[in-house]
Amino acid sequence: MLSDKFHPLNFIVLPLLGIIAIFCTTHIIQYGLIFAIMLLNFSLLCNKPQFKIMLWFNLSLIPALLALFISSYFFAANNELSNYALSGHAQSKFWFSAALAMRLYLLSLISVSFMLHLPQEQLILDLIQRKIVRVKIGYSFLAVFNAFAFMKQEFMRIQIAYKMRFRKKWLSPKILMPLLVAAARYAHHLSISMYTRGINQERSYHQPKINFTSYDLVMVLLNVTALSIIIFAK
Amino acid sequence: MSIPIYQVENFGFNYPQSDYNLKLNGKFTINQGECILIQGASGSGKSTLLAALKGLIPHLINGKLSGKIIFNHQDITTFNEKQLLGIGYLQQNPDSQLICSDVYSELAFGLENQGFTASEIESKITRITQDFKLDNLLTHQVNQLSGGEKQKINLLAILLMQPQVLLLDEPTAFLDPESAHEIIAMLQQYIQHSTVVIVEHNHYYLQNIISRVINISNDGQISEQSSEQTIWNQTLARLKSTGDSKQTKQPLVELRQLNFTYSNNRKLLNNLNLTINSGEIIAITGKNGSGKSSLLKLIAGIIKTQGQIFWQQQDIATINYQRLWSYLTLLWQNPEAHFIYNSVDEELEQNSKTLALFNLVPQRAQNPYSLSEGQKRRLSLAIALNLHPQLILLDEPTFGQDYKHKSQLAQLIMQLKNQGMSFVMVSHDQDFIDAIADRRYHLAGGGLTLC
Repeated sequence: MLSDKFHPLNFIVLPLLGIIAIFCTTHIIQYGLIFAIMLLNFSLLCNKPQFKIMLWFNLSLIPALLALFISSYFFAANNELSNYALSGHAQSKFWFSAALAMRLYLLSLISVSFMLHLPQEQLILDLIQRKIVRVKIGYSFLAVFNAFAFMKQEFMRIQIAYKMRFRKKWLSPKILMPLLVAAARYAHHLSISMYTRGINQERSYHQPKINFTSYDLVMVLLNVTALSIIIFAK
Repeated sequence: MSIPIYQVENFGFNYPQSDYNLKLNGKFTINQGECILIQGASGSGKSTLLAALKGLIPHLINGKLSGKIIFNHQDITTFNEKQLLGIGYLQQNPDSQLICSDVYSELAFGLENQGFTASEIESKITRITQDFKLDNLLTHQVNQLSGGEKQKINLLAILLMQPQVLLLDEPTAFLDPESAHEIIAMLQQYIQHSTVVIVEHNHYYLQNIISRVINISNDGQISEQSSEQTIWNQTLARLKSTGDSKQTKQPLVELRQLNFTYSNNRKLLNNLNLTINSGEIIAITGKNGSGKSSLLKLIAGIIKTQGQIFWQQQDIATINYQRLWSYLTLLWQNPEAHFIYNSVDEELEQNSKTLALFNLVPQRAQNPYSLSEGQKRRLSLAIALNLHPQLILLDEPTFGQDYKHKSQLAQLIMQLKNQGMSFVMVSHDQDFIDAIADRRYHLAGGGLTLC
């Protein structure tokens, strides 16, 4: 599969390039082109997109974007900032507000979609193997991913116990205490487990190191070129 | 000739900034090839002793150590982390020991730390998983495994490191009887080659593998006995309802053709019927993941149903949650999930009667988290009783309890039952169930079978 040929670091580098490009542009057509490039990147990197979560995320953005559009159209389009923007690019009030909403939408969408599909485990293991991240810190992160399910269950039990005891639907911050105790206990057991199995900096790895390939280089260069053209083209 | 591995003498430990002062008087020796059971009441210091035998004190657990622990003719505190890898250590909670997301990486983790190459790791993992018939799990994610499978993987991960000594801290505590027997069978296969030290409350599982027993009394005295001298089946006596029991045939809760399906379309409960009468104790057994805890949540109205569960002939879907939870309450396996105040007194709203009933008067000023396991369980039950429910749902009430505390708990529950209160308990503890339950059901394949 083509997505397997790319290094997981692309999930961070490529959206960062996109975000920088968004900050360097002001026109809605430029935003549209950046969106198209990021969509292409996303489809190349990710073989199993989480469409349902992405759809919900997009729907949740609609009220915020509408509010931003309306407020910038009616209240902010005459201020100094917008005058500066309008004079520079001869945009109408409508397009200025639309571009502002589009900018926010793209920033959120690009960040969330790439981070949501980031192969965290692969990436952290690679950073550990390259000695960029210390073994103890890297494996602690990996163990935290396992802990989420346990902590979620524990939190649910504590919530239920509280609600049944006080016959209330809302929760008090006091329930954080048993949750903190459970988290501390989990962390203690986990650290003992790591210690018992001899965690140390000088270790071998059963999985081969993921090397940067020509695919990664080509991908980054193409992105830089395309985004530069979009930014600097008149 | 027996070769001593451990020599322990007058072991003592003080946790920093704590009044807890553990002092064990006496000495014992553990020889090569022995399988030793350490038994004693909860809070007697068994787990702390085991942690010290592993060398976790002072490397990972800070505190003041006293007495002597000699491992291979050398003070254990002088060993470095690498040397201590010769001592394997398995904890009780299968979840909190897992580091990686998939089974293969989990098993490889210890070997990687020892510097083995990828091909050596592969051959070792293949061999051990085939020996223990667990090779089918290698491609699984750890969060897909059952509690028993997780604990087996934890044990294998330690065995792969070929420790000279294996220390096990209540390895079957979280497991159903079937999984517990499987873990013990794995150990039986292993102990022919190694020294094993086990701390376990459910020690009736271990009768066939233990060579010697070390007892720690409540006052910290160490004594030894042979396997033959040990009472392996220390069962609770069957408790009888008193004559003035208010037990009637009035149904409190009725489950009528209860069905429950997970969001992933996996059917958990199928056409389940059950009537819970007032003044009755009902026990439900079943494997981990069979749906026991979900059943308790359904009865408690936490998972919503329509026309399938009735409280005194009224559909619980039509009862306001505040009213429903004044009739019934649920106690989780971990009593700490119920504690939110800084003292026992506050937890029980200064109710002296409840404090006295649950024998918690001397601890009234103490922080609930500082209580012993038995006291914590009693306090959580007291919190529930303070709400004056008619039905208490109990999830693994004897978890972490020794024989004495189990016996006290059984008597308390029976006393409350005699006052007309009902209980539904989900438990793996056959002994406890035999002592107090009026009816026992086994949950399997989505259905309840009366045993």
